[in-house]
Parts: sequence; C-alpha cells; structure tokens
Amino acid sequence: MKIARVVFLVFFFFLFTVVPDSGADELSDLKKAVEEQERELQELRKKVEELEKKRLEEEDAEKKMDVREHEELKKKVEELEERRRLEGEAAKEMKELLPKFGVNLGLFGDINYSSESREKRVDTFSLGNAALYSTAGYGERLNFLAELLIEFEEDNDVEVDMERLWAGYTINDLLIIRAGKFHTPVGYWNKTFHHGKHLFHTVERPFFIKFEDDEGIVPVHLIGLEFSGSADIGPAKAKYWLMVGNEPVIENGKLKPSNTTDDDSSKALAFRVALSPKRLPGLSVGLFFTHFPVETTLKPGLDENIYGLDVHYERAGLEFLGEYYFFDNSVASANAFYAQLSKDLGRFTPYTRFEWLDVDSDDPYMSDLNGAFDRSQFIGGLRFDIDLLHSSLKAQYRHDDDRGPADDDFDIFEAQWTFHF
Amino acid sequence: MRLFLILFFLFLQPYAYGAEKEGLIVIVNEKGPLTEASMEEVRDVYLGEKRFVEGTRLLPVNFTEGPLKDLFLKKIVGMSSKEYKHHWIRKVFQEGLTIPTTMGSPIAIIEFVVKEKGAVAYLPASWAEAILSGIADVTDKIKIIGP
Repeated sequence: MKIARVVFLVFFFFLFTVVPDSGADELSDLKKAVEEQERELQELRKKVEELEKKRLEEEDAEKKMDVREHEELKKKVEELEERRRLEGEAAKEMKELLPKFGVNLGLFGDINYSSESREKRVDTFSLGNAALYSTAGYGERLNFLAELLIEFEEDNDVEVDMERLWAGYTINDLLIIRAGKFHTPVGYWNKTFHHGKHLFHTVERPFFIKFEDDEGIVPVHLIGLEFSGSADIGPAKAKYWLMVGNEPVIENGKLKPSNTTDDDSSKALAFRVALSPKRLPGLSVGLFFTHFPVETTLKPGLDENIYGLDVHYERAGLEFLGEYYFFDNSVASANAFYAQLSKDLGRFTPYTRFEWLDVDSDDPYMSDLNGAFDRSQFIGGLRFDIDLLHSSLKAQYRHDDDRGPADDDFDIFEAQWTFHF
Repeated sequence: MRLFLILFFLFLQPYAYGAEKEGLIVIVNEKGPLTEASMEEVRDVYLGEKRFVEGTRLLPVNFTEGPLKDLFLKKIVGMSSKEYKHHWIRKVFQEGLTIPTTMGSPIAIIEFVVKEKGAVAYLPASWAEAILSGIADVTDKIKIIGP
C-alpha cells in the first residue's frame, strides 16, 4: 500500500512537472503564432492603407489632369471663337469698303407685238424698254438707287435716260430723306410701278399717266428732295410723301422733267398721303396733290394744279385699282380716271381696265400737250406667269376711242413678253 | 452649345417643319425692342413697313420656302407666297430695300436671334417647349411673343 502511494505520488509528481511543461510550451507556441499572425495582419493592414493612399493620390492626379485638359480645351475653343468673330468683323468691314454697284443689279425688259394702233400704224413687233437698275445700302440707314432706261425710238434711234437716281437716309420709320430724281407721288400707280413692265398686269400704263416722252399729261418725274415715312395712327396706318423740286417744261408737245436746271426759282410741289384701315386689310386710300408752274403757249407762267384720289384693294387674289385726277388752272380744268380689276388664278391673271380723259379745248396746259384730248380706252386681257419672279406673257384687246374731233378709233390686239433678271 | 442643341432636338424633340396642324411660334431677342410687339407689328416688319424701333434696326428672318413659311405668311402676314414675293420685288425696285434674310435651320435661326437685338423669326410650335424648358444659354435670351 505504501509503495502504491509512493508510485502514485511520483506519477502525479511526474505528471504535474512534465505534462504541465508540455501544455505551457504549446500555449507559448500558440501565443507566439498568434502574435506572429497579428504582426502579419498589421503589416497587411499597413500595406492596404498604403495602397489605398496611393490609389487616391493617383485618382486625384488623374482628376486634376482631366480638369486641366478640359480647361485647356475650353480655352482653345474660346480663342478659336474669338478669332472667328474678329475675322468675321474684319470681313464685314472689308465688304463695307468694297463698291456695291452690281451686287444688287437687275434688268427689266419687254418684247411686244401690236396690231395697228394710234402708236403703231402697222402690225409690228417692237423692242420695249430695257430698265437697268441697281440698289445698294451701307450700314442701317444709307441707301442708293439708280435706274437707267434704254429706249428704242420710232426712228430706230436709241435713247438712254437716267430715269431715277437718288441717295437716301433713314432717320426712322417716320422720316426718310432722299435727294435725286424720283417718281412723283401723284397717284398709286406712279409711285408703285416704275419702268419694269413685269411688275404690273397690263401691257401698258393708263394712257394719261404714261411717261412724259410717251405723251403722258402728268409730270411723273421730279428732281429735288423727297421726305417720306409711315406711322401707326390708331385705326389705320398712314404713309406720306412730300416732294419739292424743279418744275417740268413742255417741249415739242411733251412734258419734260428738268434734270439739270430749272426755268426759275419757283419750285414744283407734290404730296400724297395713303391710309390703310386696320379693319379692312388689303385696302389703301390715297389723296394726292401736285402744283407746278409751267410755261405754256397760251398763258406764260401758268400755275397748274392736279388733285386726286386713289383706291387700291387687294385680297384673296382679287385686286381693284382706281384713280381720279382733277386738273385745274386759272383758265380751265380737266378730268381723268381709270379703274382696273384683276383676279389671280394661280399662274393666270385675267384683267380689265377702263380709262377716261376729258379736257377743255381752252385749257392752256392741255393745248400744249400732244396726248391731251378727249379719249377713252377699254382693255381686257390675260397674263400668264411663266416664272413668277422672272417672266410673263400678256395678251390683251384694247379699244382706243378718240372722242374728240378726229374721232379716230382703234381695235388693237397686243401681246407682250416681259422678263426680269 | 451648338452640339448640345443638335443632340437635344434629335433625341428628345421630334419635329416637323411646317406641318399646318402643328402651328408656329414667333421669337425675338429678349433684350430687343420687340418683346411687346403685336402680330400686327410683326406683319409690318416682314413687309418692310416697320424698319426701326427705338433706334434699333429690325431684322426679320424668313424660313426657306415650304409649308412653315406658307403658314406664317397666311396667319401673320395675310398674304400668299406669290403676293409676298410680288410685294418684295416692288419694295426692292421702288425703295431700294433688301429682302429679309432666309435661313433653313432652326438652330441657325435661334443663334441669330440670340445674337441680334433687332431680330424676329418664326419656328415650328414644337420648339416652344424646348426653348422654355431651360436649354443652357438660350431660355433667358429668347422670348416667344406669339401668335
């Protein structure tokens, strides 16, 4: 029993001294391993942090480069746009310095056929007029116009006339000032239609407002000053023209504008005002007046006055145009009027017109003019637009009635090919 | 800005130039003298009857020939295309005026109106929403005045 106890004690002594040594070692090993692992973990954490930091730095650097590149590109675009703007302004300035004659240059012409008439004693083809024009503007307010007319006379002579030549300056819509040679504001037709026959429907103007060298009896040109403008006056829009200039003369039975000199210091005056009521779109009503001193055979130093009314209505393809003239001087008076109606049917425009002139045989003004005798005309015709802007064909019947002592009537067939380029 | 406008309208705004049922809008420069103009005054501008307001030269812009221009001439000017052409031939030959500018691109028209104080132009009505919806550099520079 004692020996067993001793063995047991030695065994347990041995167990507690040896075995505990083994567990402690393992624990120590474990501890060491853990510590080692912790160290490695810390190193790894440190590396991750370093990598993260490096990544952020790189990202930041990239962003800065994008912003920088973007800024540089933006600057380049701005420089290019500024350069383009400056080049554009330089080109504009250069363009303003260059002459502009010919930039807006055009020609109106017409070729005609007429059966026997008061103007053409046999059936005949004829060259009409060639109206060469050019317009130009500089800046916002300055503009110019020139119209040169090449005419073919009965004796085959060619005559060249400066029909219009003016310089104009726009103060505002209420006041435009021009100086030069213009069409007088005597009636709607004379201020709207010039020498280009492509611009109106009929073959010719009403006979009493033909141009002076075609034996018209109204002074349709004036050399001097023109003031014009327009304004909104509430229920209507108003336009006005006021002209003062050289008085016309009568030579060889025809009126003639005084291009370079006036007979005396007194001047011709012409005025027109036109109202367009807002409630009646397409309607224009005008009142006009002209006064001019003129030397006549029967009465030197005659003061001739022409008063008139014009009505123009255009709506939905239907157009009416009518004018009335009252000629008056200290000796006698005369009346003239015309009324024209047309209908736009696409490329075809049928039209009709009646014209009338009634004069007093004692009238000193009318007595000196070849074209001043009691006369009426009836016209019916058709216009075909080959090209709206550039060419048309017209065919018309005209009954020309001399209601005076000559009683010379004509039934005429006329055709005309107009062009503009 | 130009590329942005092109892309915006290609992908977000279907448009047809001048379909009559679509309608049109009239636009002016926000800082110009036409911001309170009536359609009657716009008509006068396009007919060359009104050329200056408060010292500023007015610059009307027409669209190229087509349904949109025909619609504008009918609704605002009260003329057919033929009557309008005749009117301007006479204006050029009578008063030496210059025919209104013509442009075929809505973007070019918008850029012109933004740039010129006296400009007035018209576009298909479908562009109204785009102009008002806040396109950069445009909304506060253009005003839609009608019709």
